[in-house]
Amino acid sequence: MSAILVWIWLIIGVVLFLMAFIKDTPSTKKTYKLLAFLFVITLPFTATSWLSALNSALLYSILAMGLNLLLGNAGQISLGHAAFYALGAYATAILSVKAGVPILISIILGGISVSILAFIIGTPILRLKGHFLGIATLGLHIVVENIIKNELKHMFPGATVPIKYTVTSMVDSINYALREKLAYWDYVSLTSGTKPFIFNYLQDIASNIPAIAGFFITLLVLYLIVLMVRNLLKTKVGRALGGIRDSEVAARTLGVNIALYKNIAFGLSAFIAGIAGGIFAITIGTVDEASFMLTVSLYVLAMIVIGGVGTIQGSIIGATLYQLLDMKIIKTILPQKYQALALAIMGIAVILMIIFAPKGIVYMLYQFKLKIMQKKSGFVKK
Amino acid sequence: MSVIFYLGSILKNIGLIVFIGATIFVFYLAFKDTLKRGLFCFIPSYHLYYALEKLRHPWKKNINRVLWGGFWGIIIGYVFMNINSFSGVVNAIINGSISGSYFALMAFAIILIFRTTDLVNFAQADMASYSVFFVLTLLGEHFITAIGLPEGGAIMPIGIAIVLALLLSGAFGVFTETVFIKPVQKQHPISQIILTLGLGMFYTNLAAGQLYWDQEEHRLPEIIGGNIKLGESIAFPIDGILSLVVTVLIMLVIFALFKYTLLGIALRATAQSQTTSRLMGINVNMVFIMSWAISVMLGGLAGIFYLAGKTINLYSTANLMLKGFSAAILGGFSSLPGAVLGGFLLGIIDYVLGLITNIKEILSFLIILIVLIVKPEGLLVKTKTVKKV
Repeated sequence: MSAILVWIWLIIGVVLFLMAFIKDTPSTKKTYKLLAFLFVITLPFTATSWLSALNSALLYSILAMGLNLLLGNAGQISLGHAAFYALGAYATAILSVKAGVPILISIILGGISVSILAFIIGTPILRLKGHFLGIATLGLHIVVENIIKNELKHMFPGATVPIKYTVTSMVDSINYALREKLAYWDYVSLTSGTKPFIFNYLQDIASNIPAIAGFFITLLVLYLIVLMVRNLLKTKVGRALGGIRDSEVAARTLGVNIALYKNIAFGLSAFIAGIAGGIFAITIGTVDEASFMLTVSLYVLAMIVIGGVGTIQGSIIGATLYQLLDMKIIKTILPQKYQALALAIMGIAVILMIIFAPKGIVYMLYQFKLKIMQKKSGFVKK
Repeated sequence: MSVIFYLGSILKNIGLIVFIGATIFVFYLAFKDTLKRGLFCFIPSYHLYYALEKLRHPWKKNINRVLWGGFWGIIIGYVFMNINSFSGVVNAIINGSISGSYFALMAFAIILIFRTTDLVNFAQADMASYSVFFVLTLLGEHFITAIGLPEGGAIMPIGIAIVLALLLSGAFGVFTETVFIKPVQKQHPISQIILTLGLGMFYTNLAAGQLYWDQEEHRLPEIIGGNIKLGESIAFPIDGILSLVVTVLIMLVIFALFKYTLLGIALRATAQSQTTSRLMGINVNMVFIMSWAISVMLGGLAGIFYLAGKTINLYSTANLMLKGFSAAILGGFSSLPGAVLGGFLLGIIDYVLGLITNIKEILSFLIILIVLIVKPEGLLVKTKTVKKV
């Protein structure tokens, strides 16, 4: 597809999501939800040039969801969340490459081991509050980064860790069949002079098959984690976390074991970060320390603040907006001279959000919806 | 040397025995207490949790002391066992206190802001790198293509350039405070953390993207240059001695300022209670602005000393800020003399342990974690018993 068509298609998708959010009649809402779902399903086949940005948007959505559980729902900050992300990726790599564990099990085991580690580390650390918790988690990140640099890295030859069974190898047979078919059509066209009209499109798809498969795998994991977090927040644990965020003293008087629930939140968010690391390992195919710099945690924080603290939609919106802006939109909109400013723009966006709209984009959308409903019902405050 | 070695090994072993014994005793206390609390106490981290709670209990204060004694015994014994010569230690102490002076300045800058305005400035590194690049710009390496400064050659001597750059960074601090920090003064600490992180992201990437400070490798010239050699193996840079002297002088000036001038008294009063200072007619906004200006200047000075004679880019100061954090935490994060002491101590520990181990890089962060967990009040502040009503 040409670039302009992709842009129009994406704008249509955004409008679909907005309509699904704003409409209140159950049947209309359902229709728009279905359309939005179809849009997401067809997205990787239509916007192939955006695939890398979309994939990283989904991956960062998972990561942001983990940190948002800790920051927005439990009220504890972590500036070293990239540490758990990195450890998850390395755990997956070590389990699958060194121990020969099947890849799916090694991702889950990696997540669980990272969460146990976080549970143990969190016990002393989470007694700190505010700024000090920030500094301690920052220190934690540096320690983990150095452990990776000095110990884990030397377990493998070379600078990066190759994963044996990646997404690329999972879709190998489909890829092979499609390429064979394309080669056959190419050969036939030599004599007949005509190619099937979708030849170019299929060629485009064939070169992107691993990325498309990665998109669906990440989407599935994101969906599962959304379900997990949403259901968790409705249970006793979710209510306890909300209580701790709002007032620790009040929560303690109501019989909430503060240390335990803070630890649970820390462990769960580390679990999600570890799973994100495992997904990173199988979609990218190699694990190296450059992908888990301190800045990753800062960017995830920025995503949460932009999207909306303490909401599931907020993490997804923030991560998607951030990644698409950083990897695609800025490059299209701004002239060459100003393209390096993408991160500066995100920085100033974070500052403006904190000053003017601390609850993020999600809250603004709810306000917008409220205004529309008021207008419709004729109930407008004078 | 052999005497020192045996002395060290005896000390280390005694320390090890004491430390392990005390740890076992603490765990025994934890077990005894937690076994009553039901099945859930079998999660190992909970033993640790209650053990750490125990350490704070006034009755178990002696256990705390025994643990620390064992710990220092192990460390000092290990150092004695591993040092090869006396001059190595002297070298490490001099060079350690030189790098300690950078950390002390940085920790001072961080704590000054924390004391007066109750927020930790995570953008200190980015602001310090602005100061460093102000110096480079004033020295004739022009980066801002739009202004078109004359090319090549030093415009002014480096001393004047540093002073001017510090004044500029003071103005920069005033600008930051009035524009970005004032609106979030009353917000939750987490919002403030994220705001300062966003600020750092904004400043660094603005400079990298638009002012072209990051495009190529730059080298900050040495301030005086050269080394001093005493004997065969003791050597230290003159710039370092300059930084040490300047740091000590600045600290003396600032402590005099705090003690005797009206501004210093206002600063201390604001640090104690903002509301009362307002009632007493102190212009608290002015105090905030002044503390930001002084803090950014000190952080910039630390950055300039730290990077003098090195090849630099925009991210060189990040490490300095992290060391500043650990120095500040070592000093308790609330007292200014504690910050200075913590800085020097951290520098010396860094160098001495650099002689014997290879964990030097993560050492300061282990210190952060350990101090925050075991003794969050820092070294200088005495533990107060909180009255429970």
